[in-house]
Amino acid sequence: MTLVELTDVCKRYAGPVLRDVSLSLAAGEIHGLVGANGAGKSTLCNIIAGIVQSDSGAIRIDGQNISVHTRSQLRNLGVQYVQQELNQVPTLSVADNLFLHALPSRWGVLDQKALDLRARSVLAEVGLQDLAPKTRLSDLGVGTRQLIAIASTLAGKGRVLILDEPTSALSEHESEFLFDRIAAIAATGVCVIYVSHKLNEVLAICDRVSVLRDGQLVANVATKSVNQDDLLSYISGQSQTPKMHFVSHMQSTVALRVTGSARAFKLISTLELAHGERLGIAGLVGAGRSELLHTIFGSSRVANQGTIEINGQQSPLFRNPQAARLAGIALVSEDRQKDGLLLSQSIATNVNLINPPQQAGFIRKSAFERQASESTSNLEIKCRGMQQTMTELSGGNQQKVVLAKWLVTEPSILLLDEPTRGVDAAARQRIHKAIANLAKQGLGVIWVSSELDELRDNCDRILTVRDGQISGTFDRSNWDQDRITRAMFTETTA
Amino acid sequence: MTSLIARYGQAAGLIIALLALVVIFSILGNGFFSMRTLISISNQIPDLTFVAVGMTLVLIAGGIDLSVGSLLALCSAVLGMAMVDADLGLGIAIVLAAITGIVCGLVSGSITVFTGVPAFIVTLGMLEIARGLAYLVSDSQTLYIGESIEIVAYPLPGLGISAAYVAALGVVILGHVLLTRTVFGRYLIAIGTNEDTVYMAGINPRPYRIAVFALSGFLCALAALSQSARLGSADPNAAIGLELSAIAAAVIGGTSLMGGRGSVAMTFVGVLVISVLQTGLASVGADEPSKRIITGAVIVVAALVDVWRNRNE
Repeated sequence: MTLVELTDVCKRYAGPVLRDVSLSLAAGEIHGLVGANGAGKSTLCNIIAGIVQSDSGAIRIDGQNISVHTRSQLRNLGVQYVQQELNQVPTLSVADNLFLHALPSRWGVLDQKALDLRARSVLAEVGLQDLAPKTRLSDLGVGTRQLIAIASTLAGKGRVLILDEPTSALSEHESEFLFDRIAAIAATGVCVIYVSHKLNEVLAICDRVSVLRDGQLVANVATKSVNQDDLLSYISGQSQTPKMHFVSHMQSTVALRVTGSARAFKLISTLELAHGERLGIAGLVGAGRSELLHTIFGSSRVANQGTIEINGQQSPLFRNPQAARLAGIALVSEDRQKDGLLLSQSIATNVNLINPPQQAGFIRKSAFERQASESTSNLEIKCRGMQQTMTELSGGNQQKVVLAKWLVTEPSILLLDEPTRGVDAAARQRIHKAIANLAKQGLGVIWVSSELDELRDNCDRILTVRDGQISGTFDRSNWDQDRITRAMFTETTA
Repeated sequence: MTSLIARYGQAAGLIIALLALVVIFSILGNGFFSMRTLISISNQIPDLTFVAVGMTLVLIAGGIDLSVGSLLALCSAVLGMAMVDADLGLGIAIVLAAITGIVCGLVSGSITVFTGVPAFIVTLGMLEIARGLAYLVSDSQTLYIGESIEIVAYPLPGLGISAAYVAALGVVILGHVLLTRTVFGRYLIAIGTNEDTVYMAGINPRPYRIAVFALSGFLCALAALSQSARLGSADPNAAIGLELSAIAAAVIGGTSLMGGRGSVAMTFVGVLVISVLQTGLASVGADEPSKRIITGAVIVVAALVDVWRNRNE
């Protein structure tokens, strides 16, 4: 019996995210959903869960056509969604969290007894019958909290259960337990949509699996009929040859060499970066890409041990960003709004943040705007002037300001974490060009991106990271998208 | 250009409000413009100005200093003890008081910066501790100092205003220059806007955050000098609740309690508004309850206008 039916679902943001996705899921089915970063998995889940509206196409749940729907309507229809970021209140008890949407009460007074009773029965369903419902959530491990999140979806009437990377924080033992529960839940007629990067898990527990690539459904097959290799081929697709007009500025001298046993990032071998090299870092979200950059920049939250050598000067790994900056390293961080910009301030203030033109501690007003416009002149920032407030700029122009801020410091190493995320096509090209220019001047660039195409077209070399380790190195000259994808998803053989 | 208009528009609005207050009180009051009221207003101004300038800088850097009233009393007690008990000169006494204020500020600042305990809590603790120390130092007695300190509050020959008053104006100007023209000031604004961004830009925000508390402590010492000079004595019970007036002056002047935005010059206008309001209300015969209610309403209205203006930007 078909429970969920999608017909020609389309969604675009800056570009198309989902293209004509049609999919039907049966009651009692466990359906795997896999694909690379940005393939459209999350958007598809969000649409099924009613968090995001599709642009076109039809969604039927239990035969009901749902054109305009809200999250609460869908929850009433029994669509439950456990997101990767758990939406819980850690200061409240397990029971409170389970029934936060419908706490039993009499005249506004919490009915503790009823709550306790209901919580116990729900917890038993996920095998947590021994857990006291009064336990504070913050006292529990991530694995248990994940199970509680799933349990809370069972507290409502569940028909469709969407799980987004449920095992990313679980131990093997906890995962095994979760799989048993998922199977038991599906056996009651619930349709489970299981999103994961762990292909072996998907193959083990799912009945069918769908593969998304660039927003298109490229496969919908029974797990019995495929193996991991087949899935990887679907995920990576046809290998496109790198664009031809790439000019390498790579020199033979070493700009940066990092060696060490970084605790957060298991650097198994030495990482080397040449002057003028653009080194791409590919990997799945959470594989340790950003952590690698933070280890180099001294902003890692854990203490790392190792050495760093910049232009022949050796020192221990930096303990704070100040030391890294003074050594000539710049980091354009992943989230510019969180820690890259002073959003309420002007372009000039942001560009001049690190080295304001000064004389004995006094700002040189005359030079202030000049330095800002000089640093941004090559980046073609669309603005009314250097005094314009950052909040009024588009994402692309904001990102250019972050870049300009670092160029003022004349760094010799530039670390980029998703430099073109949320940036429109024109600004993206502009940023690519600016980075190429910097490489030409001899800067070493380490470039993290979720988009393989971007790395393919702009980098001399690509490292893949997986599970906190460097899992492969690929030269531009022998580009092999299939092998790179494999290095991102599974253990390396290369 | 728009930001320029917005900035001066804001200043103009508050100055018009200040003038309106003066006009209203002149019409209502009997002799609001008398020499007596003018002296009364100008006497209060230096104490509050010193403290409010420090408060403004702390607020802009994203902190708050609730200990300023108690620090004033402590510094005042130190002044009294140095000049009366130890029979030291005014100069040395001022240095001792300044050191006291700076050390207390450094302690508050360091604790909040290094432990992550919110400045609100740390300086609330310092509020009690400094008051206690003030009682301890002065043996809970008001120390009469006399002429040797009163000269600070005497009108300067030819100027008509006191040395304390001149110093307060100087502090406003220096504070304004510090905030708008120096790298230190830029960093204070940047830290108050987004400390993560500053840290990730490879700038260590800690020294700046601590320094601004020390600066606030130092200005408390100057306020203590000004007040002791006016009274001719050191009173350990002085300036209870002064922190609230200082925060009010800053907020009326448009300083954000969330950090990153504010102006020392406008805080001074805020000080004038509060002083005129208090003296004016007294001169028209308002009783204590109505004085408090009206002052409170003015603070809330000023904050509302500020929120409304920012939403429209």
